[in-house]
Amino acid sequence: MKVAVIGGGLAGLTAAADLADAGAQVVLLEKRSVLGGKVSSWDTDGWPVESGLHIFFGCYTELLTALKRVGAYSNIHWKEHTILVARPGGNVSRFHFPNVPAPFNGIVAFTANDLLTWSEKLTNVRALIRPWLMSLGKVARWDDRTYAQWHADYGIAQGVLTRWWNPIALSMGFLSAQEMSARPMTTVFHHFSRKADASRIGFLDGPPGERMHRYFAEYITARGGEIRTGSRVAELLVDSPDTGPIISGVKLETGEVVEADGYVLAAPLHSARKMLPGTLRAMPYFDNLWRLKSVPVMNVQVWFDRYVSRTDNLFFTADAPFSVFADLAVTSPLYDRTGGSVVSMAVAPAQPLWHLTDDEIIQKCLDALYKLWPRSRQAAILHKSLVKIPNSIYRETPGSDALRPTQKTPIANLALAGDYTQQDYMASMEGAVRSGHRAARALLTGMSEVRTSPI
Amino acid sequence: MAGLSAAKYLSDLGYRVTVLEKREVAGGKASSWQDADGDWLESGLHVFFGAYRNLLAFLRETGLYDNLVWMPHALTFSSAGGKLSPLVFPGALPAPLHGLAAIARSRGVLTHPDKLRTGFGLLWPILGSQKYIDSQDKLTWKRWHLRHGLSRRSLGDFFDTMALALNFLPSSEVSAKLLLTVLSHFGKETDASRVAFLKGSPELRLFRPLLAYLQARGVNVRFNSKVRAVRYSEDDGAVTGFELDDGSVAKGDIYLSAMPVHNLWKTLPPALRAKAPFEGLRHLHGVPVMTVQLYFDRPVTGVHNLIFSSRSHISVYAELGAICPDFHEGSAGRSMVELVVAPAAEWFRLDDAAVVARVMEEFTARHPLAGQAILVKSTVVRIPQSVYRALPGMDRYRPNQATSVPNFFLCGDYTRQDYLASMEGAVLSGKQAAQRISVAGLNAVTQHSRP
Repeated sequence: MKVAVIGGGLAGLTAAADLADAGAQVVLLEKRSVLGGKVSSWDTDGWPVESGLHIFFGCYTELLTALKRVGAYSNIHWKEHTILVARPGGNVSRFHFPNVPAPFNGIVAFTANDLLTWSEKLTNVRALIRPWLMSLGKVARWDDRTYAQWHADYGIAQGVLTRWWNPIALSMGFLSAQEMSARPMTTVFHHFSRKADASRIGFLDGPPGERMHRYFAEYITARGGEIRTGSRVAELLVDSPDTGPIISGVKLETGEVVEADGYVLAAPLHSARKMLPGTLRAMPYFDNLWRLKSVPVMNVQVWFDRYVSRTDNLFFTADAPFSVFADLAVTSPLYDRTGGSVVSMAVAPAQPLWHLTDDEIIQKCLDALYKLWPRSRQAAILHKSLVKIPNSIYRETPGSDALRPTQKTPIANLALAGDYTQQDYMASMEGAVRSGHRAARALLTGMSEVRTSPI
Repeated sequence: MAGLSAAKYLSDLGYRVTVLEKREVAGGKASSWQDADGDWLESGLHVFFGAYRNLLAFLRETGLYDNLVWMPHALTFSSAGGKLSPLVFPGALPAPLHGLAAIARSRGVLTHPDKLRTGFGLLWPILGSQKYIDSQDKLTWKRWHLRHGLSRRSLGDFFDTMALALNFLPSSEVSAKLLLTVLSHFGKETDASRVAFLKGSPELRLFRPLLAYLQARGVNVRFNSKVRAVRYSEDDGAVTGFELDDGSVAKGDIYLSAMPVHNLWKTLPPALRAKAPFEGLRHLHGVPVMTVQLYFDRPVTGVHNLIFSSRSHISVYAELGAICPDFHEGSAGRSMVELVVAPAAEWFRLDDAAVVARVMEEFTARHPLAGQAILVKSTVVRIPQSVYRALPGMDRYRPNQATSVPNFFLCGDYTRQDYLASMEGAVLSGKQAAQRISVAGLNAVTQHSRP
């Protein structure tokens, strides 16, 4: 059986690895010259640029299992179990999770810090009891409101929102708490309060292209698969025999048609929409894809001529255009090439800054960084880069959950994968991996039904 | 709304109707128009409550009901320091238990003794008859409130805001009847306190389709036709025509005024001004109100609902950019918050920039994250005389829709109907005017046919 996987991001790579394991002959089509999609990395004039700041959490079980399977798990460096919040003037608030079972480690972290006042801590911990006790299915019902609304509904003090949960929302979904659905946030609360390790943070030791995707690619090719980068798909060809519509092939931009028995569409939302023929919009399943939206994202990287930080961990902040940042030279040793810090800053919300020039955006980030880390002011800048992604992960606004498609489509030999398809980890690397697994399973079962159906 | 409602119900009854409107847009106090950027300016923040039976029936009858978007059943109160206190009405309970449960479960607004006192106080409007409520028009809400054992805290945090949102007047001025009426509806009807918004601007989502509906039924609508005077013949004891600004006279068999009360007063001839019930109109005045729109570069409140704000000038507001699909689509990331400034009188002398600066100050105190957002645009709409002032004792001056002149009728929020100054009141007054006209017509017919 031959399967074409469209899109070489984490979702596509996972689906391809699963299908190769199941004995399928896989061909993976990636439009860019590098694999990884939204988690890709590349070199511009020798400077290793990454498309974002990518963090591995302890609760990313499927992703970590997949990394073990392809042999990349040891590339993850786990950090001290502490969440840091940077404040102006070089101050840092620490949420240290001690080595006791959940949720007690979280209760300690949320109470023993100097970011929140005691009454704020109390309202926060009291409200988090609900997502702790509730099942994931019940938590999912909170997709009817924004996180800010949920926050008010359950009586948490406003200061907790501005100083703590808003930066978390911005770093997770690139949306402010006022725009983001309560579901992803409360899902995180649920996981973090159930498992002690869930909130632990890990970094890849270097650029994801070399340290993660290459392992996937080797795993797939070792099982007879083929990876074709630089192959941009123009459209999916649909055939409509009496038994219902079926994908007959994939037309590349070059005009070449790749034919297979099954297809996994693991392209991001906006690209998937372009590839699907308009006639499919008559089906409500596909029409929903046009109703989901995606978020614009920016990431700034600055190389300094000296080390401006020694902290081997991620920082959150409420006082900058970016919500999370880290010194990659410290957290990821393979980035430590120039003898100085490499500060990566994830800008969110990106929309309000979108109209500025690259230099203006970088300057705004640097000004904020100088306030958070006063020592960086003395360092000279060797190089700076800005990555703008107009259509990144899907927009996790209230009500969007109901629009997310299942991996199984009405077309028997087509499955969808990607963060935007239905799975419980929303827009994250773990979500992409889970959707890839589910897409592979959906395709295999869907096609076995086709083969066994009497014609 | 009153005039168009009357036009609709009159044409249903088979009357040939001509509507005269002095502006080039319909809607009066609910009108909206576009500025140079193509953004919609509104004369106010228009909220549809579940209690608005007649308005909702009117929208259903004209096929406009789907233009509403209903919010979760909660009333959200914000206060300085960024605290949001939602009053969530549990869906499983019927009225009035859901309201009492909402108050009991609320956080931040009231202390527990306050809640108990409020709960007991609310038994009056819940159990009281319409007659009882009418009899309380002699008191201001504040006096009623304190006399019936409710606390000063609940007055300041809660009922003052409601009074400002409903009539743009503080509770020390507004008649107790106004709040009692609202509370009795909220206490008796389960979904009365639920809130809906139009999906977009009133012009596109309400008035244009409504005008098309009316015109298809033969109603003639003439814009830019300002009525200068009501012509009255003392000999016949009848109105003989509406004199327009251009000097022409609009003639009909029956005349109906749906003008605001101050405009009606200006057009009335001295003979009518001295006559009951018109003489009482001199006591009815409109309240000044301002509507401010703030356009931010990102969503700022996170609340997809109406927000009441205590101890401030921004009595009620909503992030329409997040609520109304029309304002959301193609907004390029902008989010618009529309706020009602009340009490507005003391800010009326300020210029627009100063008004916006003060509104921003109060708004960011309530939503600290709005301080990080950039204000890309702001608009101010001032209405010196909006809905009539529901002061104590004013109720007896409100005229019936049928007047002492047999062929002259009135409608508008200020006329006698049970819903006070609201869109519901306007629609109901129009409906009642149509009924009175048809009854009067029947009487006339029966009188003529008598031998």
